[in-house]
Order: sequence, then C-alpha cells, then structure tokens
Amino acid sequence: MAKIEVIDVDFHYEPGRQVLKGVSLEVPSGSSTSIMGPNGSGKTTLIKMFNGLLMPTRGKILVDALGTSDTTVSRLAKKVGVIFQNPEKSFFSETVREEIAFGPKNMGFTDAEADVVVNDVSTKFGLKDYLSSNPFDLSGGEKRRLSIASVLAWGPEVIIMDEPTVGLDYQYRLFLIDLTQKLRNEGKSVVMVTHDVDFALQTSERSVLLNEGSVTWHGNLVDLLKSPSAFERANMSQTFLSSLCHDLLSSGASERSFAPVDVSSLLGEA
Amino acid sequence: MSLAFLRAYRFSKLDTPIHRLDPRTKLLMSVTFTLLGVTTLDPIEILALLLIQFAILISSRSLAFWLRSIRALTLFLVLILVMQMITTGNILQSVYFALRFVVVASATSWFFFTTSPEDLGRALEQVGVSADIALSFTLSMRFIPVIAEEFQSIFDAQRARGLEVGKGGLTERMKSMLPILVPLFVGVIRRTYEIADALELRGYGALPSKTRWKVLKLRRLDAIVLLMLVVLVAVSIYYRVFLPPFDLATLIMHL
Repeated sequence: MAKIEVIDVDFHYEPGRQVLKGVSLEVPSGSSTSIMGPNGSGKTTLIKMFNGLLMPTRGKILVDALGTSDTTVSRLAKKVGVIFQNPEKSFFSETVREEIAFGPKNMGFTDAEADVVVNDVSTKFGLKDYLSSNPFDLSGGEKRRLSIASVLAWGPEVIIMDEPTVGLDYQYRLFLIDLTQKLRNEGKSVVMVTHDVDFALQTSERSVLLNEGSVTWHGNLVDLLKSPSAFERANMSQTFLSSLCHDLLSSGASERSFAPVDVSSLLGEA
Repeated sequence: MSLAFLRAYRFSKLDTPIHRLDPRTKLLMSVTFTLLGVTTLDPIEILALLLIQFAILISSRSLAFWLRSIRALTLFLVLILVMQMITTGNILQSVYFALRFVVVASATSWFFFTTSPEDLGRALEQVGVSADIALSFTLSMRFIPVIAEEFQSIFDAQRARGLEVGKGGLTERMKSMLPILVPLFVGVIRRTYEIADALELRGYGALPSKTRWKVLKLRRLDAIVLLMLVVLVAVSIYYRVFLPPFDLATLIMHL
C-alpha cells in the first residue's frame, strides 16, 4: 500500500507569493489523515502535489519512495486518486457507465475489465439503475457519489477528497463517514481536506493543520482537541463541544479536563 | 497546458497617467495604432509605432505584463515568420511582417492592462453602442480569467483520472480535449443562465431607459493625447504620400 512523504516543500504560483513554506508531513499507508486549515492556507495546492499536478519549487514529494517529478501524473493517479471539490464539474460522458469507465480505461483496463469494475462500483454506490442515464440528469447527491465512484473504479491505494462535505446534506455526510471506514478496512489510505473539524473527527485519526502555507500542528486528532492554542495558531475554531468543555473548565464549573470527540464520548468521560 | 496566458491580458488597477485616461481616448489610440500597424510594412513606421507603445507600456508600468503576453504569442510569431519566408522568400519583409503583428498585439494588450471591463462598457455605451451589447462585452471580458481558471481545474481533474492530453496523432489529440471542453462549455452555458437570472432578479431591464452611475468626461490630458494622435496620423499620411518608402536592403548596399 502506498505511502506519501512530503519533504520540506515550498511552492509558489508566482514569484514572491509563497503558497507553501517548508511543509513536511507523512501519510502512512492505511492511515486516515485530515488536512485542515482556513481558506487560502494551501490545502488544495498541497494535495495537487500528491499526484504530480503541481511540482514543488523546493523540496520533494515521494509516493512509495518515487519522486513525483520522476514520473507522470497518469502513473501517479493509479496509486493516488484525487476527488476535487465540486467534482461533478468535470463530467463529460453521455452515460453514467462511460463516466465511470473513463478512468479505468485511461489506466489501461480492457473493455471487459472496465465493465466488471463499472458494475461493481455502481452497485456499491447505488448507481446501478442509472448506468444508462446522463450524468447531468442525476441529483446533487447522486452526482457526488458518481464522482467518487469514477475515481475509486480503478482502485487507487490513497484516496484524497478535497472539501467533500461542502454544500451537501446530513445523509451524504453519513455516507462519507461510512465510506471512509470501508476504505480503511480495505487497507487504503484516506486523506480529507476540510475545515470541518467535526467531520475530521469522525473520519480521521491523524490531522495536519496548515495556516498561511506552513504546518502549525500535526498529530493525533484527540490530542488536538486538548490544545485550543493549536486551533488559534491555525486561525481555526474548535468544535462547539470542545470549546464548551474548555469554557466549563476555565470558569471553574468543572475540575476535569475533557476532550470529547462527540456527545457520547463526553457522556462516557463525565 | 494552461490558459494562464489569458491572465496576461487582465486589467491591473494602478495609478498611472495612462490608467487615468478616458477609456474612449485609449480605445481610439488602440484602434489607431492597430489601423496604422496593419496598413504598413515600412520599417520606420513599424519601429515608430513600437517605440510609442513601448513608452505607453513603461508609463503605465505594464512592461512585465506585455512581455508575458508577447511570450504567449511566440508560436504565432514564429509561424508568421516562417510562412512569410516560404511565400515571399524575403527575410527582411518576413521580419517586418512579424513586427507588424507585435504592433497590433501590443495595441490590444496595453489597452486591456490599463482599462477595466467596466470602463470599457461605459465607453462603449457613451459612443452609442446599446447598453445590452456593452454589458455583454463587459461580462465577456470579466469572465475570461474565470474561464481560464475553470479550464485549469477541469484539466487537473481529468489528468487526475489518467487523461493524457497532447499524445498521439492529430485526431487523438483533438479527441483527448473533449473531456475538458465538454464540461467547460456546459459550465459556461450554465453560468450564462445564472448571470442572466441574477441580473433580472436585481432589476436589470426593469426601466425602459437606463441612468448612468458614472459619466465619462474628457479631461485636459485626454485632449493633449488626442492632439498627439492627430499629429501622429498626419505625419504617417505625409510620410506615406510624399516621402519614398524606406528600403533597408538598398541602404545597406549603398553603405
């Protein structure tokens, strides 16, 4: 299974406008990591480097010990599948079947192999009945499921999702949480780029906080909840629950330090 | 592949004499330079037009943007040079042809660096173009960088799905562009409807005649520039009618 190493990476789109500064981190194989930070902190730029869409201006990125600058995007894409924000914007096929088969065929699957994976993922993602439909005719949630299915179809070992929860409902959120768990059970690595701390807590065990292009904190997410200053440094807000617990502690209403992930864990701790 | 070169034509808000000129003055200057450029192959005239525009670029602090825009056109310049050399066999004339293209391209580029789409819309309206056409033009200008960004994000998304653009023969290359162009056009059409709805929802077209928030007025600097423009056209006509055309090859032979 693939492992990603980011080693002292700098990046700028235009000279003088540094987007990433000395970023170093690791995505171990089989892990679930969330990359969090406010808008403009460099999250999307960073993940575009994981499959070679962007190259560092300094430092290097290794995918399974292979430098991203030493290979092609399509080769890296086999291992690292990226699902961008608003992925339905890149639909172009006439049918859902063709849309799902597009990636596998680019990766060298034969028509018969592509048919097998199309049937497999369309069943998993509840799209089996829409295989002959036009992707543009699907509902918002179905479009999102199709976009994920069309990346998972060729079986990448690392799956990166850029702001997957933006503009979607609670049911879809539950679907994503369940999907992340299933992918982890299959031994795949999942990287979530988000500024939704609650969602990160439900899907990831590790977290990297970015602010103004630098890593301001990284480690276990539960440890992060115990460190309000880490959120401040990253220019982010804590979850409602953890800020409530910190307020209770600082006001003297409670003598115990809580770091609950959700209400049930709070009740468990209390 | 990138449409980043389109950003080279983007307006940049600076406070320079050229930026302060009335957009109608700049439009007239740009059209004049273009017309003078396309109607001459005389090296003296081409050089003069290039030098004047060079001065405009320096005074509007747009030289770096101009270089970027010309760099994006390098392929066209080489193509013009080669095609001319093949058809005429005259190296000097081919160079003049390519430089003439630079004159015309520059007249467009400094105009867009120094004129905001809104000012351009106002200028068009005040020279009698209908408000709807002026608005369409302004919106088109405004959305060029947005579409360039959209192109880039679709391009990235399709590459992340293993698409390789620019490989194989011409047919394959064109086919490989479809996964990028189809969603781009779908997005543009959708955005067009959204903008049309947003305009209507905000009362666009509710009144039969429009009032103007900002009325353009020609100032002294505009008058000076327009006078200089008249002198330039007069000198150009005099040069073309009364003086013999400049021939570099004959001059070199005499020397």
